[in-house]
Amino acid sequence: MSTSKSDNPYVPELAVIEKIITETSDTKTFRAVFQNEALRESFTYEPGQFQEVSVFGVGEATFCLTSTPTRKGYIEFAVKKVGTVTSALQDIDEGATVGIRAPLGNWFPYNDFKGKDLLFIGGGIGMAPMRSLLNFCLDNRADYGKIDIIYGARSSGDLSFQYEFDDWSKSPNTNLYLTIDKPEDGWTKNVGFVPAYLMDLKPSPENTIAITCGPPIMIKFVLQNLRELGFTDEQIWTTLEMKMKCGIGKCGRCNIGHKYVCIDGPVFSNAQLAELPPEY
Amino acid sequence: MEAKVIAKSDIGAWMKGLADKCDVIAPVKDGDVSAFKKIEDFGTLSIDLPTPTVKGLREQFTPETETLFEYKLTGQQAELTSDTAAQKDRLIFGVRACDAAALKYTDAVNANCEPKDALYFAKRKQTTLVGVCCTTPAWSCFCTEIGDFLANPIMMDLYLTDIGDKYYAEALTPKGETLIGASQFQAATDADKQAAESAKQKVIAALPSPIDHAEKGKDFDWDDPMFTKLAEKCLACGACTFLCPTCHCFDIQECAQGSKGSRYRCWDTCQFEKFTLMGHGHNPRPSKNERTRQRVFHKFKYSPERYGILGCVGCGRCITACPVNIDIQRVVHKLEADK
Amino acid sequence: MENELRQKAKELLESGQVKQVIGYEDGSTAFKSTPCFASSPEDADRLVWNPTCVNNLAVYLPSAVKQGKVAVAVKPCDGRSVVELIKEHQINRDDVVTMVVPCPGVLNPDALADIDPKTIKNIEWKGDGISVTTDSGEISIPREKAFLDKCLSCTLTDPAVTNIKLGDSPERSPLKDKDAAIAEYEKMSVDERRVFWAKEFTKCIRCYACRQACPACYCKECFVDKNGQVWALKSTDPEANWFFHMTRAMHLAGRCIGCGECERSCPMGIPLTLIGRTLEKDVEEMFGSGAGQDPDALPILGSFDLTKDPDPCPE
Repeated sequence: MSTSKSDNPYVPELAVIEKIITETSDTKTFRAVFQNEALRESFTYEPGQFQEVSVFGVGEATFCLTSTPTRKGYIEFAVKKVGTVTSALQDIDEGATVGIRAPLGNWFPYNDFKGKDLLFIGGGIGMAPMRSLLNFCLDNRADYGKIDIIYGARSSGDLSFQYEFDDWSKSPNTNLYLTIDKPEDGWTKNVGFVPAYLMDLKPSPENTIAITCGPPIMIKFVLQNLRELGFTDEQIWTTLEMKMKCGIGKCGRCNIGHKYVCIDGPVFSNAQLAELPPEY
Repeated sequence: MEAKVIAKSDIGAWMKGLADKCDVIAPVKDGDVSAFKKIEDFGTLSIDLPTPTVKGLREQFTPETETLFEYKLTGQQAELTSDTAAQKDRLIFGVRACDAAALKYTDAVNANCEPKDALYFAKRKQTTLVGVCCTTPAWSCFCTEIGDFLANPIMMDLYLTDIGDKYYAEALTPKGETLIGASQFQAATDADKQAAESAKQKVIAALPSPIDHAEKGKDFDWDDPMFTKLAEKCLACGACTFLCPTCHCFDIQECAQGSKGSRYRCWDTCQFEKFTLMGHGHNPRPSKNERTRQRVFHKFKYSPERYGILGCVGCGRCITACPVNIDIQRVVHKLEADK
Repeated sequence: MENELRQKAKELLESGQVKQVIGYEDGSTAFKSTPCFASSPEDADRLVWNPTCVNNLAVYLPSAVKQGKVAVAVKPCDGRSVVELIKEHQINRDDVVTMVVPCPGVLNPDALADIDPKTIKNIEWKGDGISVTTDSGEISIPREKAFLDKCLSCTLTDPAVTNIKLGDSPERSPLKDKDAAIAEYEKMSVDERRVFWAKEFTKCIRCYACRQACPACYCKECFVDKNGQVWALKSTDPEANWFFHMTRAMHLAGRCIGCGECERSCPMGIPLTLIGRTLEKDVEEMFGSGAGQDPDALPILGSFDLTKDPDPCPE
């Protein structure tokens, strides 16, 4: 007997992995399509939301939706191999069935961002949770001002979504600034850490929203530098990663103070985070 | 609402009558521990009321291990089944006022944002609760410090107070009123009412005075040095949290058996290092310092902030269970003094 | 004795010989003490030594020695845990100063069953047993009722790693046979034992208090917590509980010194010391030596000698 989601919030919807894209040596993007045709049509979400993905026989893990709701019929998520479920996902083939509980969590307040310039600052796999908002904004290009994307990784091989770089940089009034940690043969873009590159580029805080995600050490210095550039905490947005199980505010492990990252987040402004204890 | 009395000698017969319609669950002593068990034999009814049950009601609504669904894999296909067959209605007898009060908190947690936890609420809906006023509180009890539910019980249907050879039975809900409609219940006299009142007051007098912990929790010091001291001695086991009637944290795990298996949830605790450890190695609560703080802050600070309810009912179970005598009542008093 | 303990602790801390002294201090109620971590001479004034000092403090040593040399108050039984920790290279002999306290036996909580706990003011050793001071006077409890079972059969002398001996060892002869507790159990058939444990393990809530309180359970990551390779389910179904307890028991074979902290810490009242003692008896019979005696001995399970021992692989 099958149960509908409303009866039991822990039962996932079945989805088929339609396409697997190898991003880097340890990261793949998965495109999933719901088996239920009605759901495939009706399913919608907001940029910044996340999901719980099941590999049956192994378990469930949390991933941001990296696709944009403006492109219907499928969802995408990027997986870096770090633990049990992520390793199992690396091994599955196209056509495999996974379980998906989605959409979960809050999202970027993109309506409040309308009419503003956007500055995306990503490091490594940190680009994944921002890609949804980025493509959403590019698909609604007229709603937003200038879009600058600063994206860095350890090496050129560690940059994800390279197949979209052309689309991003060719979009009107949009600039893609790439950087890698160390020089490489044939690399013509910037070399250096993301926070340093940010200071070289000196974006203006004027009517600008900064969205950043990446490794904690990068975030730390990016925040420092954004403040130095004159960005206020209200202008800086990020999306947090925490250990999650239920994703629906019940299992108790992703709290920061009295907020649950799974339902009150994962998207927070720096001003909101400043109100919370430093435990993330 | 209405109140009646029932002779202690009639309890067995009354419960036997109820058992035709529902499962009757009551505290039964097994060795040294008292636990809620389904009563099968009303002839040799040996309900253990003086000793508080070791576990409270948590397992009645969120079992230690609960299957969420089962799966079957065929090639690349998966099929999920989830057994939502209705369970029998049940009546739990001998519930403590503190344990019932804890349900107000766990209800809030499980209703917290959509989707609500349907597995929990299905069990809540099917359960009738008959409480009993404590007459011999444990040394670690401090419920009166938290709330007045010992005198004015909440979240239960019927409340019994021991007045000698009978119980004074107060119906608190329509379900409770139906219960005291049974033939074993008789009209209560004014003397019965007074006897119940004085029995309650006698217990309350022996317990601590109320403290507005929710208000005081607002000012807890995040860096209170006491947590370093607690962390030194804490063994990082889960005895405190697993016996706590408000603790509700769980893990979700897989039981794989070849091409089929199940996903289940099981109790988990903030006191375990792996509770918050992420796949890539980062842990926001990496040491016992953070984890001992999380337990106390969650109950006395975060829960009032989030749900408007304290996450502690003063049942004292964590205090009696702790192998190293970490006493949450003392800890909270100290935090309140330190602020 | 308590003064002597405090004095010694003070000297060790004042002279800088140790970074901290681990002992006992008054707990939140007169019938419980709690572990005390004294790092200054003033802290040492809080140390106590009385019948409520039940904990085996050796459990703290592997992490405590990371901050520097540690002095620890040990009963003769707990001292055996220190021996094991040294033997198994979890701590260096030079990093620990053992202060062996004279122990007539420690409190069996059942001894207080008939006393209103809220009236208890003090508990001390007196005569053969203990004296409990209550609001309504003094109550004497004789030895056979006052102390834990392990104490009634205790024949232990000072552990092999004694640094400081406090007071004189009390004169006593065991009241019970060490194996009295398992004698009944051993009468059971294999099937009866299976039924017995199935029932006991049903109670387990997997809080791991047994493991966490055990000085011999120092694994950085317990087999049951591994999540890459799943050895044991986290679920509390009888098979999973059984697997956890029996695997843990096997890991402790030849290493359990019988302090009983697992059973004391278990909130569900599972008689875990039965497993430990049964295994230890087997080890003693098969290998002729027990745990916690000689810090220089090889651990039983690490002592296999290809040249002397029979081929363990059956044909």
